[in-house]
Formats: sequence, structure tokens, C-alpha cells
Amino acid sequence: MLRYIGKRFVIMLATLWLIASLTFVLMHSIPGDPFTSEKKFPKATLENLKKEYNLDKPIPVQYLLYLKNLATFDLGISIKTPTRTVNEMIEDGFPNSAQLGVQALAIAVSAGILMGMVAAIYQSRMPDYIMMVLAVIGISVPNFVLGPLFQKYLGLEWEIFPIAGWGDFEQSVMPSIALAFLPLALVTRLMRSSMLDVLGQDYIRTARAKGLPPFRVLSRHSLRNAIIPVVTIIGPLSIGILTGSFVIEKIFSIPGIGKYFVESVTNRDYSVIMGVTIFYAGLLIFMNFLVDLAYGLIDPRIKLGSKEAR
Amino acid sequence: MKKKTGVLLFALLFVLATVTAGCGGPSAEREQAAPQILELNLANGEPTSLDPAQAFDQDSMDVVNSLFEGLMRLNKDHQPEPAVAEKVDKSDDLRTYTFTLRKDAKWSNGELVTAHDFEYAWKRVLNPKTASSASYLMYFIKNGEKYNAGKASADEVGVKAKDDHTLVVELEKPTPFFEELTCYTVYAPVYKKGLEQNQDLYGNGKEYVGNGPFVLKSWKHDSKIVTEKNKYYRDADAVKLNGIEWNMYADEATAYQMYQSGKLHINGYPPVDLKDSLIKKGEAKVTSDSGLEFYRFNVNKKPFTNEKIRRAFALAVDRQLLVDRVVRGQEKIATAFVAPGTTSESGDFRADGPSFFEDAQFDQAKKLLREGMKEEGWKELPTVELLLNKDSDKNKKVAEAIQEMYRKHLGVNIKLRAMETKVFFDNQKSQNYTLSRSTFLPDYNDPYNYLESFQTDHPTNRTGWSNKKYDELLKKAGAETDESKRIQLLHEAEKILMKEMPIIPLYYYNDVYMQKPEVKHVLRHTVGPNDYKYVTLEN
Repeated sequence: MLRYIGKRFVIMLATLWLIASLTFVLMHSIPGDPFTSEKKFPKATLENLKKEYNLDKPIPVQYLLYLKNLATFDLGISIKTPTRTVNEMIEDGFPNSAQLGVQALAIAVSAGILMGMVAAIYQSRMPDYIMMVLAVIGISVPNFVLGPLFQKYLGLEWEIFPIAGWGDFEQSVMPSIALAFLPLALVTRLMRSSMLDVLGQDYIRTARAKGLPPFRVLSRHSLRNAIIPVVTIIGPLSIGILTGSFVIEKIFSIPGIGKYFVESVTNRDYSVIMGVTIFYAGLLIFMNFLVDLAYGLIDPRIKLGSKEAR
Repeated sequence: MKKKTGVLLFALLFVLATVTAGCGGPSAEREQAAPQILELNLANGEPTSLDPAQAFDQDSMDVVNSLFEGLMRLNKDHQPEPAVAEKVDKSDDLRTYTFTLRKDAKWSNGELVTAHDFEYAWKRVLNPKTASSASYLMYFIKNGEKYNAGKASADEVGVKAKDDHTLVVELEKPTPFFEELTCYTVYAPVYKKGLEQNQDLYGNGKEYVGNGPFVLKSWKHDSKIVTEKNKYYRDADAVKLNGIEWNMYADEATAYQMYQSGKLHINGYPPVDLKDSLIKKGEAKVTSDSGLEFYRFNVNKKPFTNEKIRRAFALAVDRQLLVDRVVRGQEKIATAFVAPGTTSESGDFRADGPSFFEDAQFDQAKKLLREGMKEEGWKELPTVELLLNKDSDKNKKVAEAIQEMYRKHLGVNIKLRAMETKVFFDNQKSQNYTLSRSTFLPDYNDPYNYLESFQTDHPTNRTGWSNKKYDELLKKAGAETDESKRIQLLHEAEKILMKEMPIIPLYYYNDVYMQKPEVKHVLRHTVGPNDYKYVTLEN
């Protein structure tokens, strides 16, 4: 097991390096730079700006400098907001994005599993249809429609929740629900099909034949087996949600890091592009690793590190 | 045991969720419902910087303008009047300005604002190490450009504190709008003593020291900036507000709903789709702004090498229709380059300048196109491509409307080439286009700022257009000390520009905003940040 973890760690580092290098190359190959705008700066100003961010040096040198800083976890200074470092931006923003994400994920996973189970148990009956209609709505209504709808009715008209802002728990309710909609629908559908599959298995019949109470069959035999596909997608799903949503954060005015993923590219804010990409990639790689470990815990048949199991 | 771990994993997830959810806790900054707190919105979210040397976008400058005060401040009529300075002496050649500072101007910590703070601040802006993008606004100061380019030392820069209360400024050339420049945020003083100890003084909200009507209390990134009245402000009696809170609702629909629910006093950017109806209902107001929307011709590329064809394309646009039906913000149509409201000592430049052509002259346009093609010996018009940036829906709609006008009135089919903003500017600057969407926003309120753009090889020219007479007129105007002669020279230059037409003016920008009726006395300057110093909230 330790050897497996060690090996995975090396691979993780290599992957991260590859991602950083690729991002660096791609980023510098798109036209325009951080200082391209309607205003054309005088030459001296432009040179000063470029010097400040090491952009006057040849690209390979910039790359090496960047790797050197990266090794010490220094992600550099944002070019667009020169008084802030990328580290600060992530430190300030990530906890907010993560809180929103955890809440959304908790809603999505718990409600999704429950709804999926109900749908599978009552297959082709009313509850199933209701759940599936909800799931289709969840998948097809984008959150930039949901967000403003919530704001208009729950916020402005009925005054149940604050329209936007961040700090209070009430302020986080609407964005959490809006953000949870899509993953909730995904989890529901996945859980339903996987549960249906499990319910048809022989060992379920055996368990029932043994005279186990229905609830025990469900919790012990069906749920544990049916949940594996859901666990698989929780890794990437949670990273996608935890690192923030550009749309939800913008609509509800939440100081998270979601917007940096989009805005840094439009601004060609090189240090922020690199910073958030590496942060995201690192988290994603790490979460996948955790999910792999979790398989071993949930399903004893999966043996980590042993070749026969593959 | 192992069987329980799966269940445990989920239990953990729930616990985690509830714990972190609880962490939100009670808000520390719920509005205290104090009646005299002005709630404003920064429509682009987090300002780029609150350091006067770095703040160079509208949002940042609005905030900085409430936290600082320069030598002069723009008054109700948008004219500079003494602020930290109490007296200005100009030399006859308009190249040396001596500012005498008030003895009662103080920093928000009670210390005196001195001429040394100004000298330090201005040299800091020009210091190449500061890498300020606004530094070129100080190139009017003697050796300012050279120092910024690393070709002169700081001591050679023409700004000197003779004593605590006297600041002597030498300029490169006569600059009639220099007093106006000293009103802008980049010319604000900085707290020298504090900055020498802490380089990051203006990077956070903890030790921030300013000298403006308001003082920074807290700055939560991407969330809120809270300021309160500065009791040490030299004109504190004129400030009626207890403070200003700058919210950051970056989504225009959210900002609109916050305004509707009474959480914002002013919404500077009503949703584009609602603009028209809000103006008609009287819920949104319109004031003139500066700058204009126009299209550039590439005069080195066929067919726009021909002046008559350029003119034909300019006359075939129905600007009034464009503004009424497409842009829909009650903008004024542009038939010249310098926008109305561009004032100098002698008043509004546009007031005595003519409009250079009539809008929507389809017959004449057709005739000019025929003549132009004959001159060049073209049977068919070379392809015209319109370059535009697709960051807003409006750009596309305007381009499509103009495409249709050319089809209808000239019988010409032009192609649209929409691009991501930075790629667009890259192409425009390298003149890789035939016709390009363009915008102009002035840096300071003087016609010279508009017209200097089209000198040969000026970085803002980008059309390839070059006219010796024009260059000469601009050069003369830049050196002229007699105001009426200077304005005359600029009028002549604009005439040449509008005769040869390397550009198509479309419409002048305006400012559409929603403001609660109880908010009074906001100063909206045509150029430069808004001033909330005199604002009162009356019920």
C-alpha cells in the first residue's frame, strides 16, 4: 500500500508538471498580451510593465523562472490587479468557493442518492416519473437561468433569502441550490440505473429469500453495491464544484475563485491563468487519488497496487 | 469493521457540509441602517488597485477620488478649482506652475499634507520600477518621459518641493490643461512617511492613509469596500455623508435587482435590454459623457485607399436609425471627431465647431462610390471586411445594422469578422483589417487629446493615414500659448481629418444611470471620476 502511494505521488507530480508546461505554452501562443487594450501605452510604459512581470525575457527563460517560483509555491503577482498576489487571491477566494461547493455537493449527493433509489425501487411508476422529470429539468435548465429566477422570486418578490452577497448563511442558500441542480440530476440518474442493475442481481434475491427485512436488503446489499459509480464521479464532480462556478459566483456576487478561470484568460493575466490552472489540476489529481483509495474501502474486491486486480 | 467505512465516508461528508455551512456565521458587516451611508456599486467587481499610481480604470478611479484629493479638484462646472493648493501662479510661457499649499490640508491620520508628499508621489508614478500604466499622463512634466524610460534621473524631473507648502512644477511645453490634470487621481499625493516604511500601504485596507473626503475602513476583496467620513479632511464641513460603501455586484442583472430592492442608491449600468424602456419611464437618466464610437478605415488597403469611397461609406450610414433602433440609449449621433462637452478655457470646443457632414446621405454616397470606383478603374469593389470584437452583443448588432445599410444604400456586401477582444486589438494595431470597429475615450478633457491620435505613426492612429499639414497643425497647437489661436489650430486640424476621413464617426457616448430620488449632488464629470463629496441623502 505504501509503495502504491509513493508511486502514485511521483506520477501525480509528473502530471502536474506536464499540465503546467502545456498551459504555459498554450497561454503564450494565443495572440495578445496582458497589455493589449484600446489604449496604446507609450513604449516606455509598456517596457516598464513588461520588465515588472519578467515578460521582457525570452519565453524559455520565463518558463524556467516560473518553474523555479512554482517549486517554492510562489504563484506570482496578478498583472491585472498589481497589488495582489495569486497566492492571496486563491487563499481569499477558495474557502468561499469551497464552502459553496461543499453545501451544493452535500445537497446534490444526499438528495441525488435518495431520489435515485426511490426512482429505482418504484421503477416505471409515478415516483420514478416524477424523479426523472426533475432530473431532466436539472440537466437542461442552465444555472444562469436558475440564478436570476431565484433572485427574482425568492429574493426580490417574496423576500425569503437575500438577493446576493456573501457572509451570512442565508446568503449562501440560493447559490448552493442553484449550483447543486446539475450534479443532483446527474447523481439521481446514475444512482437510478446502477440501483436497477443491482436489484436484478442474484444475491439480492438470495438475501430476500433468506428472509432479510426489505430495509436491510436495501441498505446492506443494494446500496453498497449501487453506490460505486456515484463514488467514481464524486471526485471530478466535487473539484468542478469546489473550485467555484463562474456563473453562480458572478450572479450572486460571491468572492470566490470561479471567475478567475474565465477572466484571467480574457485579460491574459498570465500569472493568474497559471496559478488557478495548477491549483485546479493539483486538486483534481489529488481527489482522483483519494477516490481510488476510497474504492478499496468500499469494495474489498478492489485491491490497490496489485496487478491481478486490474 | 470494514463494512462500516462506506457509511462512515458519507457521514463524514454530511458532517463536513454542516460544519462548513455553519462557518458562514453572522455577518460582521451588515449595514447598520445608518441613514447617511451611500451604497454604490462597482460594476466590474474588484477594482484593479486603490493605489493612486496604479488606479486607471473607471471603478478604481471613482473610489480613489473619494479617498484622495489632489492640488485641484473639479467643481460643479467641471472646471478645476484649488483644493490642497490654495493658490496657483503660472509663468507667462505657461511652463512653470507654482502651487502654494494650504496649511490645513491633512492626512487621515492628522498629519500635514506637504509639498514633499506631492513630489514623492509624482516621482513614484514616473519611476520605471512602479510600472504605472497611467505614467504617461505625467509626460507633460519636464523630463517625466525620460525618467520613466530610464533615460534621466529622478532629480532631473521638473517637480520640486521648495518648502513644505510650495511646489514648483516645470513642464515640457505649454500645457493649458495642466490644472485639470492635477485633479486626476494619478496626480494625487501619497503619504510619503508611511510608504517609506511600508511599500504595501495602498495594497490593503489596514493602514491605508488618504487625504480625501472619505477614509478607507475595510476592504474585503471581491466583496465590499467600506469608507467613512474623514474628520481630518480640509473641507469636512461640506461632506454630509457618514460614509460610502462600495459593493461589487459584477452581474448587471444582480445589480439591477439590488437597486430595485433598495440596497443600492445608484446603479451606474442598467441592463442593456432594459435601458431604452427605463429611460422612457424616467427611471434611468441620461447625461453626456466623453468619447465616441467610430469605425476606422485602413487607408493602405483597397478599397479605402480612395478618399471618395471612404466618404461614401461614411455617408451611407444612418446614424439616427442606429441610435434609435439598435444602440437605444439616446446617444447623440457623431458627425465630427471631438465630442461635445470637450471644454477648454474657451468653452465647449463643439459649440463653435461645425458638424462636418449630414447624416444618412444615401444619394450622395452612391454617387461618390461610383466616382471613386471610376477613378481607380475598378469594375467591382474589392472585398470589405469589418473587424469587430465580440465581447458584447451590442457590437455585433451595430455591425449587422451597418452591414445592412451598406447593402441597401450602396449595394455593397461587406463581411463581418468577429474576434475575441485581445485578438481583435492585436489585428487592429497591426493594421490587419480593412474596416474596424473602434472606440475613443479621452484621458483628459481637451480637444488636443482627441486630435493628437491621428498624427502620423501615433500609437492610436492605426489607420495608416498620414497628413503633413495635420501633423504640423497639431505640433503648432501643442506649443501655442495663446488659447484662442490654439483652439483655431485644432479646429483646422479636425477639418482636415474630416475631409480625408480615415474614420467614420458613429455616435458620442453618454452615461445612463439609475439613481434613487433621495440622492442629491453627485458630480458627474465628462472626463475623470465621479465625485461623491457633496452627496446628501434627503428623505
